[in-house]
Amino acid sequence: MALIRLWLFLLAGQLVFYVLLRLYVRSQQVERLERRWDARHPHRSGNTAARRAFVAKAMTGFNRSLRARLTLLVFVLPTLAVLAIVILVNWQ
Amino acid sequence: MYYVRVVIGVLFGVLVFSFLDYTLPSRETVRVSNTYNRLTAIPTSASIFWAADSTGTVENAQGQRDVRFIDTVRPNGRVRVYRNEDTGWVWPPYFKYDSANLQAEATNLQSTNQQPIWVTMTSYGWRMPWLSTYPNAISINTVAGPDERPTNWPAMLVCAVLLVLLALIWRMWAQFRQRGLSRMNRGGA
Repeated sequence: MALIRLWLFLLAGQLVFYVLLRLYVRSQQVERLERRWDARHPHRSGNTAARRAFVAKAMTGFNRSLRARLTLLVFVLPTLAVLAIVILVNWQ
Repeated sequence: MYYVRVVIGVLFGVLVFSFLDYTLPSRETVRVSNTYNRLTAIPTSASIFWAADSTGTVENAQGQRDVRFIDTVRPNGRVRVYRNEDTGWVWPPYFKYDSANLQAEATNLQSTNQQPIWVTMTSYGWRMPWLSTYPNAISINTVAGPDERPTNWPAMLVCAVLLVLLALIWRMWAQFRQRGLSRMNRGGA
């Protein structure tokens, strides 16, 4: 029972953190693309329709990028940490 | 208003420090002088300083629990008493299941004042005599002498991970303040 409870708490925390981290990484990528557009088109910089189209187009494949996939580690690392602690504490 | 904020901030800092000081492992070089079991009444006021009920601890009809204890002596001659209880899958997250093995190891390393065997005891928790609380022993290792103090790298590692997480959350919050809020004010997208 205690193990199931631990797992549920861990999963809830991981889900919340995953959503927040995902939003953060996405937001950073959008910001980077906007800067790139501004650097390439100094005379058309700022929040224009052309820049929004460029960002939207560049963000289409973002979910399959390495950076986006690395956020899935949120679900892996805590479980690995638990396993490491179990082995270290109970190993003679 | 300023002083209220200062007081609340200081109290919060003390709370965080005490929480980490209680939960993180600490290491002490000691000599094991005795190991034993004792029927112990756990007062409800101090029950959070003992193993949780769901770890598989058994209590008798009077609410007493058979607890393993390890008596130790520090190099300066002062004593330190450890309890030795499983934490199981409950807080704090040590996932300790080998208290019987640990008790056997401690008994094996028991030594006298004349021929001391010095060990380093890893534990968490506080000894508060007026509340009858004891630090919970986690592991035991022999050391060369009473002056040897092994580095407490588990606590350092946990602190480092917590600092990295704090920095990440700080960055995420700053990003939200900078972009998320203005986006909301613009009305979506």
